[in-house]
Amino acid sequence: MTSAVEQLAMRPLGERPGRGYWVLVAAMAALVVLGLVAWIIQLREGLGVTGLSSSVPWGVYIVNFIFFVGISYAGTLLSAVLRLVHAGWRRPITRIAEVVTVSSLVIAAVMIPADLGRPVIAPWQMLISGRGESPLVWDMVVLTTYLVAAFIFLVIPMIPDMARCRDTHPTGTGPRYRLYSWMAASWNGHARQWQRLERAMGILAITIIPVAILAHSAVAWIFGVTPRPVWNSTIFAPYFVVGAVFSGTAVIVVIMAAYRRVFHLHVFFTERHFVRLGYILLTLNLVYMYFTFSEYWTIGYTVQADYQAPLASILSGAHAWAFWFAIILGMLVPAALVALPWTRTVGGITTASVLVVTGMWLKRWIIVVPPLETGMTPGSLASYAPTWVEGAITLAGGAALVLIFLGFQRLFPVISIWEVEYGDEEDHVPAANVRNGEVPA
Amino acid sequence: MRGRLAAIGVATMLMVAAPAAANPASTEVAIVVESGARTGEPLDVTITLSDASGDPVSEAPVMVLEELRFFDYHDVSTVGETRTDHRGIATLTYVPGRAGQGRLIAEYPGADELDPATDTAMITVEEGVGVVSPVIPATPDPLLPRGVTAVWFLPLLLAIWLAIATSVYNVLRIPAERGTAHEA
Repeated sequence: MTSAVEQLAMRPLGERPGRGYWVLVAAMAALVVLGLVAWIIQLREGLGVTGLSSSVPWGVYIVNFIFFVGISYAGTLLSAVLRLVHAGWRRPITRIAEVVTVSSLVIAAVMIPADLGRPVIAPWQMLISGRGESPLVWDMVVLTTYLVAAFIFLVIPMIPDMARCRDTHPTGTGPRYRLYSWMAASWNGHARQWQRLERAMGILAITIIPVAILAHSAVAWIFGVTPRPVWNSTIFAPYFVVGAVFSGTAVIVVIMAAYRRVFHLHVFFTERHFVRLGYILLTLNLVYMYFTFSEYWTIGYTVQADYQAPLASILSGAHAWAFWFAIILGMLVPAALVALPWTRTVGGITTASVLVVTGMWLKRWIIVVPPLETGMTPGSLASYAPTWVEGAITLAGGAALVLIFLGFQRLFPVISIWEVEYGDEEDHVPAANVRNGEVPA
Repeated sequence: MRGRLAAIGVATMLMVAAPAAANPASTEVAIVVESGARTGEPLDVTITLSDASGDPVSEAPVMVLEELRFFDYHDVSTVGETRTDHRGIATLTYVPGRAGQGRLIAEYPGADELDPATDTAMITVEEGVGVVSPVIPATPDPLLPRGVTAVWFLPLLLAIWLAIATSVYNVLRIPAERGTAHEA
């Protein structure tokens, strides 16, 4: 006998998708193909087809890398941290957060060979000739660890739900049934199996938090240990970590809003979830604003001449538009939208999150590009503007994330059914809503 | 001091100008560098700017750039910016820092009725006697010894992988823990 939660959560798996779904899949797939074509052109012609140069060797690709590693924090915060503090309201959100983590890490990893130009030789050289004291090497090691841990952390909690998918499969044959059976790992809900599962999840939930912090700190230290004005900052590691959780939370809100609207999952993603995530977003926003203020205030009063050109470029020069967009529309407006009671709604918090995601991408641009353009030798100036090749690969990264979600929700339940069903009665709002007959048609 | 050779042009001189017939507003800029360049010794650079009819262009900004080549690396750095006088002539002092072949570039950005123009002069710089090339201070070693990273990073990484392995072990044991629902 299936529960109402199970029926709702598994509905997208059995339903034939509508025309809108296929249009979206086709559009995203087209963008991914365009990105692949652009990459093939880059591989054939070299990095000359990009806006990168010897003066500005890092551009949009590295901006994307930091951005996607950042949003991977969604799973760490919402799944691991909230799991450890027994926040019951997190249950319907955890799986989405874990999928965001894994998929965004994979997309981030693709951006590095895109930037290096030689997708095989350069990473290989890093492996055989990399210096152990370099944060670039740590970053490669830690991100690989993070990806493995995040993937296991996504798959382990799926075991009971995979058993459900296996047991309720209409035909009991075919590749999808075999996939469910394999992923279910002979699960039959025995107490000792639950014990094993809980132990595995507990260990990983504790482990993945330092891994995630280390991963983004390593990214920050790549900049921090470089004697380049603006990059050479002691607060970059916590600044990057807070920025990552901030953007990751915003991405979760956006995805939740999309699922809620498209698949009518109002019963799982209630206004309460949006408001609570809104509060987390607001807290992180304030901390990030404090770090931003502290960073630029300190640089602004540094008497070293080589700091003045990049800072002028950021505050009032060529990149001022991106900086002020990130500050005003990416931080101040979202803070107001969440703080004011009359805009603290699903729509208001979603709008705030979209602005945060855009603002945080631009903030990464500000961190990477202006200090490189101003150079380190007196009088050396360079300019960087991404070409269509970089634009296409960037769009392909975003489209791949959407495509992964579209594919995932056709194969697996996006709600962790067992977690919602077995949650605390007190915090068990989605199931209570279902019991109260608030099941959408 | 060595004499100025702006007129005679002992140094290699290359005139670059937009074709006058195609555009009556075209401008001519010429850069001349005195010969006998040695590292660490100042050289006079003379730039002459004239319009299409050969009249001098006065009070015009001219940028002088130095081309840098190092194996595959190619870049330009600014030597300085100067301004022409009433005769259309601007001068600048340049101190070569590296021995070998090099190029200096004069750039006139153009004005309302005058086209931009560029000229290049090849220079050969010899090692200066008793003059040392600008010394780039060696990067000091960091205060923390390199091995310190390994002290905290490797054990932490090892602990993380151990935790992941323990977690996976528990999952792999799930099929072995089968029993009936009644037992559970």
